[in-house]
Amino acid sequence: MMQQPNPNERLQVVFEDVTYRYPRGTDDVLRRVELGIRENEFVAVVGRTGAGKTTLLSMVNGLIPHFFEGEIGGRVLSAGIDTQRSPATTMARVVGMVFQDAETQILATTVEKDVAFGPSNIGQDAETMKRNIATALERTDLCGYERRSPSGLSGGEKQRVAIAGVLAMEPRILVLDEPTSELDPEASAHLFTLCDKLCAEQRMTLLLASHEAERLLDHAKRIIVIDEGKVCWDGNPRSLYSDISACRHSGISVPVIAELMWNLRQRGIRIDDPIPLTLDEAVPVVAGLFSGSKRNIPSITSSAPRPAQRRVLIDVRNLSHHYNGTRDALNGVDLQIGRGEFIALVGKNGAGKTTLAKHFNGLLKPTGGKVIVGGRDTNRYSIGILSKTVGYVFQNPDHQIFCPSVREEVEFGLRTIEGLTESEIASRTTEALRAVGLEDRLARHPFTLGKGERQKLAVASVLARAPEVLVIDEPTTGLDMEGGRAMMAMIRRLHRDGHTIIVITHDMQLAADHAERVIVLSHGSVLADGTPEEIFLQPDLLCRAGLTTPPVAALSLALQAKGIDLRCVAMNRFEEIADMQHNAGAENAR
Amino acid sequence: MLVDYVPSESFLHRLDVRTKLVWFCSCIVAVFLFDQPVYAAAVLALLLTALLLSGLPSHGVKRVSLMLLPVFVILFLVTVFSHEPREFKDAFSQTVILFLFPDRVAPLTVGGILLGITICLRIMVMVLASLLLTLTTPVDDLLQASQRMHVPYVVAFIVTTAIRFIPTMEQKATMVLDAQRSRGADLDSGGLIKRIRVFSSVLVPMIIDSIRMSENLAMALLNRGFGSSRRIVFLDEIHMKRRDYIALATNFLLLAIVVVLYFQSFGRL
Repeated sequence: MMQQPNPNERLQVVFEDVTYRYPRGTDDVLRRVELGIRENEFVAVVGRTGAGKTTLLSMVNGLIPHFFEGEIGGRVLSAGIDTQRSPATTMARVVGMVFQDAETQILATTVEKDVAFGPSNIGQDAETMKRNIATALERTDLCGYERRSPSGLSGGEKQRVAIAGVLAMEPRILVLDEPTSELDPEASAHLFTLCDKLCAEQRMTLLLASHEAERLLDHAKRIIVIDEGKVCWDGNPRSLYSDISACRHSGISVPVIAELMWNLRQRGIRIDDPIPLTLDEAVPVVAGLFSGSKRNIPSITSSAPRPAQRRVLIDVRNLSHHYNGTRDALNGVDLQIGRGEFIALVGKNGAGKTTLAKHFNGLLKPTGGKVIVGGRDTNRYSIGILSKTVGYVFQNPDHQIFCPSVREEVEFGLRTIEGLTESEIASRTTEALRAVGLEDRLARHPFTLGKGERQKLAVASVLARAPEVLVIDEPTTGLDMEGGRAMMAMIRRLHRDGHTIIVITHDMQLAADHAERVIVLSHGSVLADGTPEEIFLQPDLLCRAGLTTPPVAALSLALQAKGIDLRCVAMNRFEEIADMQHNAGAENAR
Repeated sequence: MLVDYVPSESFLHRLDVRTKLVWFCSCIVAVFLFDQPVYAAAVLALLLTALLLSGLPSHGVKRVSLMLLPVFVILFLVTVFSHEPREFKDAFSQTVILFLFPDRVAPLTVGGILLGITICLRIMVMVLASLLLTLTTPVDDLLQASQRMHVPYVVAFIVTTAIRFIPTMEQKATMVLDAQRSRGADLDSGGLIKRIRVFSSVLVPMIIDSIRMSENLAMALLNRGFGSSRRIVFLDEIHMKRRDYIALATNFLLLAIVVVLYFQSFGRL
């Protein structure tokens, strides 16, 4: 499957037998990498966390070896320049690099001045500089942002400022290291469209690392899979995602529809090659499976009991909240959350998800209405008391980890509870670590753990205080496919053990796959509240909330239009239905 | 955010950074020359007028004043009771209203009260003048001004970058505090050792995050060609315009009056 570059076209990026090892590292991070990337190519680099993607990208602009030293074998040429021989500042003129964290890439206090930073460093004259800034802002859809302050921008806007900042230096090659991993879907879609334009209109060469399989399928022209420092696959996205088992082997994310089709095939359902990868391709194939036997379609009833039948644990009554001097962040929210529910809180950025959730453990107090948690009015109890009922796990585990060992980290939350004996503390620590699957990491230093494990440690440290409710903010953000899977499996296990789970997420398919109840927030109010089927099969509703229909629900809707009413939004549920249909069909034939 | 630049086209925004720096220093000098509160009040009134005329949000000023309220109260009380009548020249100021303790200890004088008010007003003037400067001046202009004054670029760059990252660090601190309070960290009570431990739960993640951020920042700098050229070209060269000369002339005129008044022994207590 190796793609041979056409020798007639000029190669913009060349890796010649490149091997690299970080200083004091014991293993090679890159091993004998050979690559040729043409002008005007949009290349995605994928692989599990730690596979060497960032290392590979950092070699293109000379961050390795000019910033990170280490042992290098072979040679990297970017736009014909040997990256090891030319200083980093020269490389900056031909290769622009954009990193994951937009915040630390913005150095000035207005957008315009930040974009001017690069050009002024390399000594462009004022005339050229003004022209380049205008062009860079235009190409990143930032016209009119010139005088805005970066601290008032959204994550997506900041990331675009960062791109404009390198574009103003007129590079030929643009390298983006997971630029969308902290963005919401809308901002991420915008960024990919920009990349397309840069490639098509400016003939730039793009290298981009990302976990977003659906978008890579739509936008990238070529995908390079890195596994343990080696290029293990190199070719077009379609052929990559047609072989899901190979993708799983390298630990990379795959498009939901492609995975669904592959799983159906694994269940023995006949799906001809080429295997459908997109919604449009999948609809006729799946419609074919169900044709002729519409009556046999199993009826779908939600097995989850309605909240009314459960004991109410969190009671939100006419809750309003406004931050100092701004418009209402929450407005007249009424909500009951019962014991044992699995809830997904969805909505676009600024809809009020986090503001609402922070009322559950008293981090925020209502400015109007009230919130009653386990019978206690949050206005009258401190967060120390309320957090024993509602545990809150934040998105970034590194904002709370501070102890030199995993054990102490978990104990910290326990020592704030008075009257616990040492043996109780020890047993609850082990219990919490066992619940998240880290029991064998007790003595490890937290920062030697991977990102996924640190996320689990954060969960354990909250879990140890034995809260009935767990609020988890963006559980899978920043994790690769395997890490995300493990995290969700753990959350399901906690739910089975009786915890009430509230997940805040931008990932609609995740909500559809796991939640029993979905609450849609929009402009500080509850726009809809129901089962995933009730929510995700209403495209108009999602559109009003600024959300997109998750892939499996979109497939269901397309089938519905053809008279096949599955009303199914979760992947494994869809597989089960298709499987039953298949078996029924097989029996009929017999 | 308290010190974040607020983009606008007001007259204060359009003044050159150097003009504003001169005004800033003049205001500070003026309030320290006189002990009578009227003078400091006049400077404060001038600054408040500038704030209102330039259409800047006043909630920042309110927030800072509220935060400083305990400081004002303590300073006022300490000043009021720590001056003997003979320290004042003026007969009216020497008037003793009462003694805090028996045996004529800790007298409350009219002069003490006036001085207490002046000291509080001086602090308000300094706070307000700094706010006006940072709210209406892009950090990059300060960078340019300092380069004109022959401060090495790297030094000036470090200072301005630090200012740029104050709002970011404020946000990070909120996130860390929220995370630790959510697992029961009580930041307001407990004995010394417990407090140190709770404090370190906030400090350690902040420090680690700052180190990570500074590494990212260093990479971003390299990537933007930082240090590749000795000649730094600024986007908008700062220029002294007619309004700057008018503002400076006004400033020097007022300053001259202030100096004359001072040497005529006005404003003493």
